[in-house]
Amino acid sequence: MTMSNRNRKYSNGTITVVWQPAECIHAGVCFTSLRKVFDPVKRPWVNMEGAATEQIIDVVERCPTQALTFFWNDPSAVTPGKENSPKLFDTKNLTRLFPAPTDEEAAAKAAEKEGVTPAAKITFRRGGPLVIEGRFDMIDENGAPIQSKLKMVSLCRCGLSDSQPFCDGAHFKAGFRK
Amino acid sequence: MENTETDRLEIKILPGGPAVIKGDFTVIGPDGKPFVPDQTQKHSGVAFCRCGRSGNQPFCDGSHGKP
Repeated sequence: MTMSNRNRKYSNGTITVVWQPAECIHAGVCFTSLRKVFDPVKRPWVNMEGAATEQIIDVVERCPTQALTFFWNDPSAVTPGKENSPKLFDTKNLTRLFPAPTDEEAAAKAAEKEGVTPAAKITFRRGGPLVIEGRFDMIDENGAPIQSKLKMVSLCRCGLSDSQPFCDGAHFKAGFRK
Repeated sequence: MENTETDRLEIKILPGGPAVIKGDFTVIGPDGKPFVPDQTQKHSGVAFCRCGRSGNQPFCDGSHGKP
């Protein structure tokens, strides 16, 4: 675990969600999937009473990094199949990281099953980063390859991130809306 | 029919400029619907704005180079 005094724990008595902001790539899977629990506007931003434990676990497991993880407060009360497993990001299943797709996206997915799978999906979030999921190679401003162990990255679109070319949440503080 | 996987995307970060992305990808817009880039750009890659100043978001329109 990365040591940082910005790490936080949030519990509903059954599970504890651990937040490590240094790991966050700001992909936004959490707050676009379950705003009643994960709301970056609020302080604290995690409300463990906002949804059932099972729902919270599902969303935490979909976080593409170790920024959100969880553990059971009582190890003997673990629901089978919902142990605190290491999170794996499966690129063969590009959908379902974000909320339910629109009809057109669902139709596109159905068409994909018949033929070729695109290498990646790029999601353009208004007022937020460019999120790229799938198989990709990145080359930085000096022409050197960027080694990323993640299969998902958030690229800064506002120009204000200190972690260029990646998002660090600066767009949010700056009120970037484009 | 068998699913074949296409090659990996190439994402090139240009200094002081856009992220040029080449390869086979889909773009999903803020409303969750597919967002189609200009077809003529696909051969050399599609340039995505990184400075926040483009008037044609999410694509580059050269605003990064203007004073």
